[in-house]
Amino acid sequence: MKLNIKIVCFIIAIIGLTPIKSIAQMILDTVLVSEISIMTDRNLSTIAMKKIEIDSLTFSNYVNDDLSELLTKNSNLIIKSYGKGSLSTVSFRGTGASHTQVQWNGLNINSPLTGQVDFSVIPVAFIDEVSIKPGNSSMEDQSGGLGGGIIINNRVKWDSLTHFKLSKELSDYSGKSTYFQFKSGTNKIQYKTRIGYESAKNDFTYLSATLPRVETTQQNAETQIAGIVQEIYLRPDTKNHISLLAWYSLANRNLAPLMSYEGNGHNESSKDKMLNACVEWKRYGDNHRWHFQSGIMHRENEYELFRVLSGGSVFSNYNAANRSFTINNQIKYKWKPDQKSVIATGVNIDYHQAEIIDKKNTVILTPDRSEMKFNLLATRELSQQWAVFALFRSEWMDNYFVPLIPSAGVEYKPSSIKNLSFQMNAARNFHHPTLFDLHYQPGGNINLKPETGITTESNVLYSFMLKGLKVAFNLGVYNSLIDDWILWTDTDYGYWTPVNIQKVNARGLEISKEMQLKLSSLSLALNTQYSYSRTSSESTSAEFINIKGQQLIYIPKHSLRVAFDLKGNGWFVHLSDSYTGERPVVLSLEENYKTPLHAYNLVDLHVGRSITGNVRLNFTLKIHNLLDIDYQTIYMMAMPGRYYSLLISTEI
Amino acid sequence: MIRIVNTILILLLAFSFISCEEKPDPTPLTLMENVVYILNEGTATFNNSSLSIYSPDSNRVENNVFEKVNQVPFGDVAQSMVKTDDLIYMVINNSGKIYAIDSESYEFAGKVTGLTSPRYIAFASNEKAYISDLYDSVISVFHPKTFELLSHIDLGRSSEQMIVKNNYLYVLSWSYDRMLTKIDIQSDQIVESLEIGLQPQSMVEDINGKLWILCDGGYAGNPAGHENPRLVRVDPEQMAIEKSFEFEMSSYPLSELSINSEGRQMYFINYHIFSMDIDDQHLPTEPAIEKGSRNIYSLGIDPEEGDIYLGDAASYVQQGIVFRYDRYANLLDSFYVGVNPGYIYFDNL
Repeated sequence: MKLNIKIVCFIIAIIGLTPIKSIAQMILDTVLVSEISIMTDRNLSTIAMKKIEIDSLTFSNYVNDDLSELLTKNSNLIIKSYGKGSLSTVSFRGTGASHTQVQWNGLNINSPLTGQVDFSVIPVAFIDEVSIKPGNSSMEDQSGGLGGGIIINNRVKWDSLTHFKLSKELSDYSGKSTYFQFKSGTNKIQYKTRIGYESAKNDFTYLSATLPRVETTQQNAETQIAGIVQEIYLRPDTKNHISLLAWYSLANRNLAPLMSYEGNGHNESSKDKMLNACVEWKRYGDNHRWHFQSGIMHRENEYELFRVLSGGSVFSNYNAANRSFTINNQIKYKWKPDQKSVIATGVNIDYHQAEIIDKKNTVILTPDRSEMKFNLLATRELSQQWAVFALFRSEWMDNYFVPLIPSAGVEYKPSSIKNLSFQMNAARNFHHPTLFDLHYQPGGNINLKPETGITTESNVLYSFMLKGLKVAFNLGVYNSLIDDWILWTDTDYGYWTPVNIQKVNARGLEISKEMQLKLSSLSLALNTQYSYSRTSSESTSAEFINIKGQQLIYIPKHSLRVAFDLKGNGWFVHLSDSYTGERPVVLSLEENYKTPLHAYNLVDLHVGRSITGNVRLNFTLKIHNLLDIDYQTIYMMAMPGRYYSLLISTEI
Repeated sequence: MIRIVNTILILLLAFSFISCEEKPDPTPLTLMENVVYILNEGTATFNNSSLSIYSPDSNRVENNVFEKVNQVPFGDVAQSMVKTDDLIYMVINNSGKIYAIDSESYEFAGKVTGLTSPRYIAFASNEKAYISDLYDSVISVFHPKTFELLSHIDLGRSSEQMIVKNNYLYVLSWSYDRMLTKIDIQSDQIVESLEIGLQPQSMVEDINGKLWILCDGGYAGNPAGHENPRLVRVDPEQMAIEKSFEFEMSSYPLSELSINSEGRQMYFINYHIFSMDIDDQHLPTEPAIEKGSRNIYSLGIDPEEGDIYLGDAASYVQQGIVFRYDRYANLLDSFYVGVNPGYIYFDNL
């Protein structure tokens, strides 16, 4: 195994290091492949802001997977997953999952209760675009993204074609997923329906963490997820664009016990319902655009943990039902007074109502929250080399008012080197406690203060095209100081409570390279991303002084993602390697106190065949965890070894 | 620029090889004699419980003993332990099991599994021991040598700390409860129950054979209520309350009633550490040891020296610290242990 890992590392590194110049010399054809995601052309709306777009090729490789799987293999985000189909959260740059703000077609879909988004219930088949906005870039859309933001969108294609798409994947451990898409319309109205269902038993075997160590079959890890997305787009004339979108999903999941569990029957389950819906009207003028949007969001979660007792009856440890309902209204206005300036402003009004129900102890809480947010963005291209932006946000949340959250940035493009740019920005940010943080019973802490952050970051972007070769390169560094970081800790009473830690410092380095190449009938793409994250408590309060400077738990210092795609003559190969460095699981005061979670290299290989014609057929054989490594993303939660799946998809 | 790109990628190559190297084996364990055991509860669901051993003679400490010896993580939420001549039995609450290890080599010796939420062990003999349970309404009876579950005693309620005395097992019911139950260890039948106070958390036996029980009184929002904590003296023969001292309502939980080897001087946590003679007529007003900036989580009294050991959980998510004082509250030593040091046990008990 050790040898195999090295070989794969070598291969991947070699692929990443193939001298670009020599490849360029081999170019036989000048036909360009699909659009590269990190571009340096100046977009006046996003000056000095980093944005990473997941391209269509990547989407096609993960068409029957959830967004968590796609991001695990194709981004340097930190994914914490309890297993396939189970709760999966995403965080940036060493921050927490609630510091990742997620927008679906302009609607913030973070749960007002937990502040998080479960990425395992977002099928790739239900969305058309994903953009990653690390750090300050997310401030353009909303505050609270101390780590960053993820933007997921559905897109309309204004043609009169009727289009069907059906895909089915079968995998080991009784995994099944089916997704269907129907689209029809004219140049005035478009209609799209997407339906999906996936299930898995996840009954893989693993080496137990008990004594004696034995092969154990994973128990209580069955998942079922179903959903539907309905989209209607109207374009009565060229100046008006109306969208109606609704997304409903159901997830019934059992939650597996820790690998060390040897007690009497463990039964833990979660049932989730989610509804997101919005209506959007965009009105375009000659040099301006109005954007009106109203949306609702409903979340329902029933969580139960019970243990089987000696007599065969059961004891309910937890039996909770939590619901939330959000109404969102927003107005945005964007004005381009001249070719060098953009001014954008908006008002966002939200109302959240929740029910936190402890069925076991018959405790019902009904907290609510009102929010109003205002933002004003001004960007200006000062010269061909220089451009600047300034963004001001103001927020009111119940009785808490933040008059000014400023951010600003500058971008420089030297005239001597084409497609090279330097970006710098700095921003203040606020993340308010969630309704659980404030009101959960027992343990909610109504005295919590919002987390406040100041982040500075710099990026160098460079791209070039040489005949059939396109290369984009990005080097970035960031530094975030976050005050009053909210951390849930144990108490003497046996329940958990959130507290503010004085200060956390997250800093790091990000390097990425994307390369696309067309060689005759072959097209190649290589995407390499490396990040170094250092996130430590800098609190000097008595409880935390001893861990000052320590890397926080579950945050890898090093991570590397490599994705390689080769396509030609109807065949395609996709190889992804996700290296995640070791992660501490305890805040240690002594060196070598506790072995950290081991680093792992997760390699997946997809090989497929496309048959084109009136009906397009795709067959893909996927080998997951090719090296059959033992790994855990959450300590003592078992993950499967090597397994296989077969994907068949058709499009008409 | 192409050169710069390639240079950085060369660094990535180097990194790839470094990152794929396996970590060296952990530091080998140093075995010691006459040690104090600190069972570190860990953080619930984080599976980071551990066992630390400390030698008061040499002031040396060895952490993560179980994992170092047995190369497997210990489990989730270590609750309590008992040592016999040759074995150490450790209750791992949220893993639903008891692990037994050799008391000299710390190597795995056996286990009792299939439990619901085990809390404490009490030995009736070399062939019979009891396991209390937080959620199950039975007390499990097992054979300490074969690790076989023998039977269950239907208590009808949750069970917590236990003491075996004069052929009877005395059991506290702590969680949302207020009872002391007396069980005949020959027949395993319940003899009598006595209402003590809300949430009787810990129990000791004094020099006169009386049981002293500390009731924490619950907490605000507790489904079973919140009332004044109390310290109660019970005559175990008569199952009668002889004395009851009531504390003021507190927002801090009272816990960890302990007693010295003479069975006269009691200690407990009430924000600070307090000490009280069994003949005192009033609750102490001045702490024996100030809490300071610590988060005191456990307490143990060395039966030989009378030294007082305090476990500091700090922020609950990091390694804890144990402070050792002499009987006059002079600080002798402090040392790092595991996460949430929750149970301090002495070799010579």
